[in-house]
Amino acid sequence: MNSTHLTKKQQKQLDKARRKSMKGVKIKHKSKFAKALTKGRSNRSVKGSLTLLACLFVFSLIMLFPVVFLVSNAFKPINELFIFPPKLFVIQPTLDNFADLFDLLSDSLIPFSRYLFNTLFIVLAGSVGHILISSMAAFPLAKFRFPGSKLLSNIVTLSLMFTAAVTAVPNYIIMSKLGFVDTYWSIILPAFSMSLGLFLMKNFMEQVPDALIDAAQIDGSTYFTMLWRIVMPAVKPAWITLFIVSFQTLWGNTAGNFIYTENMKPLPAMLTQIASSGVARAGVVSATSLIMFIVPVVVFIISQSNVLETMSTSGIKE
Amino acid sequence: MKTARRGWYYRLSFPKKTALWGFIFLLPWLLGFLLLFLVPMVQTFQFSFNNLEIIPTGGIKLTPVGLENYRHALLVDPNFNPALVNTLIEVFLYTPLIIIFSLLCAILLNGKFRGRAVARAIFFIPIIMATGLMMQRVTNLSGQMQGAAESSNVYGAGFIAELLFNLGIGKQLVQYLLDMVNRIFEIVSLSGIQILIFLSALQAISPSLYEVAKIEGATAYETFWKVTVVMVSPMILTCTIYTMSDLFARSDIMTLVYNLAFRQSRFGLSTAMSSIYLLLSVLSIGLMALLIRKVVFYYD
Repeated sequence: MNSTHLTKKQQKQLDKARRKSMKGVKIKHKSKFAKALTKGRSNRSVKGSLTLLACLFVFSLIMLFPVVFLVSNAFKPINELFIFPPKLFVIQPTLDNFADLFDLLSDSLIPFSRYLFNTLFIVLAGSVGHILISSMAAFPLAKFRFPGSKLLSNIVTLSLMFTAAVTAVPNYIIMSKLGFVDTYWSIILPAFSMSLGLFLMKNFMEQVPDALIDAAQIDGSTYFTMLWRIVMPAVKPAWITLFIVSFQTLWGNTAGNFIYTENMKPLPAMLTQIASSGVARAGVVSATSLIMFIVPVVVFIISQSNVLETMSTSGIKE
Repeated sequence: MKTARRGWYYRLSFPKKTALWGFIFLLPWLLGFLLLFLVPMVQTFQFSFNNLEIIPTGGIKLTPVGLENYRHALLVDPNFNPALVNTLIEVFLYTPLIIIFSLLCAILLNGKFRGRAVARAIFFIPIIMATGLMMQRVTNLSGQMQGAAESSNVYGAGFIAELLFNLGIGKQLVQYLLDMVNRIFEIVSLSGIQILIFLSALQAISPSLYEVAKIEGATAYETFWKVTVVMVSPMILTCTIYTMSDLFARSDIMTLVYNLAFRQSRFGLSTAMSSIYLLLSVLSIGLMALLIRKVVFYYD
C-alpha cells in the first residue's frame, strides 16, 4: 500500500491499526536500552524520552555548576583560590582549609558545638512549629465551610502579596515588648506564622478526597484524629517539602539584630564573622561555605524520596 | 433529659461544631498572623509619620513630624530613588521568566521517566542554596568573575565568549550574553517554590481530562494549551504574586532600610521608605494580579 496518497488523518488511523495488529511484534523491536528509557511503556516514544532527558540534562548542568564550584573551591590551596581567571576544578586538592578552620574554632571562646546546638534548636523548633501550625490552620480552610472561612482563605492569599520583611522595625519593637529579644524565640516565632506554609498546605489538602473525611466523620472521629490519622499521612509529601523549605530558610538565618549574646548566636552568625575577616582567610571561608551547604543537602537527601512525589490519595474513585 | 446533662457542646448543630473546631484549629496561626504580620504592617505606617527614638530604659518615644520622613526619602536621600527604579525593572523583567521557566520545569519533572528521582533532587538544589550566606557567596563569585570581562570563565563559558569575541562580535554583546547566563542561575535559584506549586497543580489535574483529549484526537500541543495551561492557570496567578513579593523582599532596598534602622538608628526614615516600598510593591502586584485574573479559569 502506498501511504503517500493518504491524508494525514487516514495515515494516523492506518498507523493505529497497524500498531494494534502488531502489538507483540513492536515490543520485541524495542531494544533493552529503549525499554529502560520508557519504563517499558509501549505508548512512549524513545525519541520523546530522549528529548526530555536532553532538556533536563542541560538544566541540571546549570544547576550543578555552583555546587561543583563550591566543592572544588573548598579543596583549593590558597594560591589556586586567587588564580585569575578562576578555574572550575581544583588542580592540587588539599585539606588545609578545613585544618585552618578547626584551628580557628578551637581558639574561640565559645565552642563550636554551642553554635551548632543554637542553630539546630532554632531550625528544628521553627520548622516543626511552622508545619504544625500551618497544617492545623490549613485543614479547616481546605476541607470545611463555615462562616468566615472564605474570607480567611482570601486573607491568606492576599497576605502573600505583602512583603513581610519590610516590617523589621515594628517587629523588633514587638519582640522587645514581649521580652523575646536575645532569646531563640525572636527567630522561631516569626517563622511560625509565615503564610506561605499555610497556603501550600491548603493547596495540597484540597486534593485529599472529601469521601475520606466524611467516612472518618461518620465513624465518629474527632477533628484532631481526622487531621492526624487521615489528612496528615495523605499529604506527607507536602509537609516534608515544607520542612525542607523552612529548614533552609532558618539554617541561613544569622539572627543579626535579634540575638546579641555570643553564646546564643547561631552558626551562620559565626561563619559570617569568619567570612568577613578578609582575604587572608579566603581558604577558611570556602571551607565554611561547603560546611554550610552540606547540612541542608544531607537533610534533603534523607527526605528526598518523599519530596515532590505524586500524591497517592487512596483508591477512591470520585 | 440525657442530652441536657451532657452539656452545651453536644447540643451544638453539626455546622456549628465544624465552625467551632475550625476556629480552634485556626487560632494559633491567626494569633501569630495578627501579632507578627498585621500589627507590624499598621505600625510601619504609623511610625513613618513620626520621629522614633528608643529610650534606653525601654519603650519608644514618638514625635509627630508629618511628611518630613517621606520628603527626606524621596527628595534628599541619594540612594533610595535609583534603588527603587532598579528594583521595579528587575521585578518586571524576572517575573515572566521565572514563571515560564518554573512551569516548564514542573512539566518536565511531572513526566514519568527513569531517574526522575535524581532529576528532582538536582532541581531542588537551588532551593537549598538560595539561603542568604550561600547566595551571597555564589553571587560574589560570579560577580568577581564577571568583573574580568573579556576572558572571564563564568560557567565555563569563557571559551565560547572568547570564540564569539574573536569572531568579531562586539564586546558589549558578549558581555550581555554572559550577563544572561549569570541571570539564568539567578532565575533558576528563585524558582524552586514555584516549581513545587506548579507540580502540585499538575498532579491535581484529573487524568480523565487527558483521556478525553486523547479520545477526541487532540495533539500533544493542543492538549498542553487547552488542558494543562488552563487547569494550572489559577496557580499561575498565585505564583506570579508569590514571585513578585519574593523579588521585592530580596531587593537592595531591604538592605538600605535595614541599615538605616539598625546601623544608623534612623527609624522614622527607614519606616517611611518601607511604607513607600510596600505601597509600590502591593500596587504593582495588585495590577499584575488583576491583569492575570482576567484569563484565569476556575474549575469547580
